[in-house]
Amino acid sequence: MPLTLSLAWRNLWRHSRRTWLTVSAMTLCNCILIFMISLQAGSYLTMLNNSLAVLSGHMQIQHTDYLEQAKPRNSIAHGIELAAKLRQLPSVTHAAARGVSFALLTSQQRSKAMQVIGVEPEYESGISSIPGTLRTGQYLSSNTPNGLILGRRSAKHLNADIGSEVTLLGSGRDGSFAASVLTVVGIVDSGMEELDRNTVFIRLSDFQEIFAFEHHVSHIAINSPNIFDANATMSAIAGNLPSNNNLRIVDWNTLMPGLKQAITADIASALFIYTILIVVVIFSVLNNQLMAVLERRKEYGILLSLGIGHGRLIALLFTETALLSMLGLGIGIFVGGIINAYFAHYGIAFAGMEQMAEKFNLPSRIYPAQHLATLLAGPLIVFIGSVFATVYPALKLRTLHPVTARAGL
Amino acid sequence: MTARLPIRYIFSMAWRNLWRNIERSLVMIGALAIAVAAMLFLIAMMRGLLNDMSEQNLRTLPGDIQIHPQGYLDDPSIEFRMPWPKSALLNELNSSFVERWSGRIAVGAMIASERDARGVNLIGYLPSREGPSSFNELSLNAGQWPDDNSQGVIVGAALVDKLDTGLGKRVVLTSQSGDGDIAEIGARIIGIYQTDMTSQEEGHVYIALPALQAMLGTPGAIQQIAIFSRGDGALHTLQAQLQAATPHSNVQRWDQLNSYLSAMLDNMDAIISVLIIVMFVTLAFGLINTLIMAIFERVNEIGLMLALGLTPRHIATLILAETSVLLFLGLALGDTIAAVALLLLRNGIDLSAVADGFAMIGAAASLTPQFLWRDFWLCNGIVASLGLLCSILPAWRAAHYSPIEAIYRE
Repeated sequence: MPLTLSLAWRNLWRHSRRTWLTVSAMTLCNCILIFMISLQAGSYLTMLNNSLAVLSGHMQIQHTDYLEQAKPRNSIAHGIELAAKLRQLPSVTHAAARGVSFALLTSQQRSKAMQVIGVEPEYESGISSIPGTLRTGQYLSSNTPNGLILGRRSAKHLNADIGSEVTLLGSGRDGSFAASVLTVVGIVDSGMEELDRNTVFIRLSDFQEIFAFEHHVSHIAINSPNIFDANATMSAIAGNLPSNNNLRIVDWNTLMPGLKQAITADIASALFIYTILIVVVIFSVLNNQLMAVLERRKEYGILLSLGIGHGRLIALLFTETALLSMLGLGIGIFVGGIINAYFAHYGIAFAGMEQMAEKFNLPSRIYPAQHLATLLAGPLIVFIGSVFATVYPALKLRTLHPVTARAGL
Repeated sequence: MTARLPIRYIFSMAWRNLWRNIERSLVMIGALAIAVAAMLFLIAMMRGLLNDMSEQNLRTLPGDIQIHPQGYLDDPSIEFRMPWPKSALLNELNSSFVERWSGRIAVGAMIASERDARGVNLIGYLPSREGPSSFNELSLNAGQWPDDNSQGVIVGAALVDKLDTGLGKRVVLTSQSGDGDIAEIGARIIGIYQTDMTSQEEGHVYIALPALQAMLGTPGAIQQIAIFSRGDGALHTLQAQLQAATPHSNVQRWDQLNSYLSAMLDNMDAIISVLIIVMFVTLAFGLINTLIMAIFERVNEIGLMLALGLTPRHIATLILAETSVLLFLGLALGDTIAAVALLLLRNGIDLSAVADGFAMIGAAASLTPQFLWRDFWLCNGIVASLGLLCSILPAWRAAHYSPIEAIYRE
């Protein structure tokens, strides 16, 4: 075997330019694959975490019919107590109960129909990133009775500022008339236009009083230590839910079906590009090895005459490809890894990406992931594909006859 | 020594040379074809997606050009309103570029049934000026479209579900009136529409403009003039003329109204070019390799040709001709494959499996590829010109062999 190896290595350098050209094609392809795959992996996880951190959380406990019909009546009885109980579970990092309804909000000059969410101020920030985007004033707390948090755009629309009074008109859970006067205590800027325009927050206790929810809540948002632990957390919670209460646990994928699908669609289109890139490089290797076989017919003829079997020749050819591909793999991973590490440290920003970033809850700078898997996946496929590309040239070797081959026929 | 060699001889030599090593040429042509076909296909899909997003984006409030009062787009409130167009603006609107136009109001409102309440976008339009032809993406599955005197509302099927109401039932609409008070009317649901995006069905309620103006206490006022032009060509001119006629309003083309979409549209050509070039560079290594090998194995032959009196220029032309034929065949095959694929998919690809994901970026679940000749020329042009560029070095090298050395090179 060492003989085959050293023969193969020397053969490669008989045409050093050809070898380097093919290795360059592989290196380039590998660098692109490493960078793109890492970038995707990095942005998907960020997008997932950020999107879930806006409001939904990793999972929610809801009334069985709430997902289909988000009505006040499909609520959770004694929800605050249930949330407190779940918070004790080791696999639950955060849990916050919420009430959700719609109401007309009216300031002195303006009015607008908006979604009103009642939150538990002390637990909400464990689930949602919105409290952290406070621009002015303070977030809800026990010191802000009848306090109201507006979005930047809804504040502008209502012409309201900290201290302004806003009247709320809606209907209660029992169908009664819901009305209250609230004081703006804070203005948040989530960066998401729709949310900023259409959603306001009050304390859950105020919410329950205004909308006649009594001890009910609309849902409980829950976070597990990280998104990959969500299933374990779900089963832990399932054992702790009161039975016969019409409750169910809904995972993030059901809460935001678009998220996983957007990622799937993006992966699919990226896979298409990768496949084409890899196929083009494999063609390059195929051509390289085909040329190597064709120009060395005489030499193969001599080797065959000397008693070296077809099997050895084929093994030699595959060893050459393997060495060639190994060079592409090694240099590709090295260069690609360095480029990736640079951007993983400094991040990338694209022109015109702000709108895109807002749409998918991404920061305006993305950082590619740095995992062994994202580093190796692409180059390994290129390597395996290249070795497979040698099958055709190898087949040509199999039928070579010592006499005719030596004559170059 | 400067005998003229007709170019057709060069090409017939190039053609024959190419087939002296059928496999090598076929592999290269195959790689070129696959890359070109994939690029054309991918570009058509991207264009299709963008096209789809543009259409979806505007379907709730369509119009090639839209005029809004200053401030409205930032804060869509009834406070920002304008009178029905007259004088200079009216003249422009009645010009021959404009197919039809109409005024609208779109305000935030609360719609409440006896069961539940929701915030919606309440859109008032003039049925006599823009009937279902404007909102042709909405199909009415119960009831009827309003006429100018209708008092009832058209509600999306998903919203009807959420509100637990139905055709002929009453709902209460609440919004801010023109003078800042609360305006409230009861209205009957006279039609239920359906579309392929649930978010639209839930968020948009349609009503006849006069009924909405009466509700808001703003007779004659509108917030939007939607203009449908005769063909896309003159949109920029039309926009400029309209802007001149109404200097204090916002006059915007459809592609400017959504910042995400306009950013995508702006970047599209750049994204496509980068994609083509990345693909090509990967391809180029293989191409250069093939060309260099073709010369290398024919050194003796090139030496002989030089000795027989062919000039270096002839040799270089021969190599360039071989590359051209190779590129031509690869591109032609790739273009054909792409054409067949796109023709097979011309009626759209069903993507309902990822419908919600596409809804996130504002596209429907069926994707129809859009083929533009511009992309075709861009793709073929870049590959052909860069391909020829790759062959310059090998051609130059081949042309500068010394005949004696070349003939005897082992």
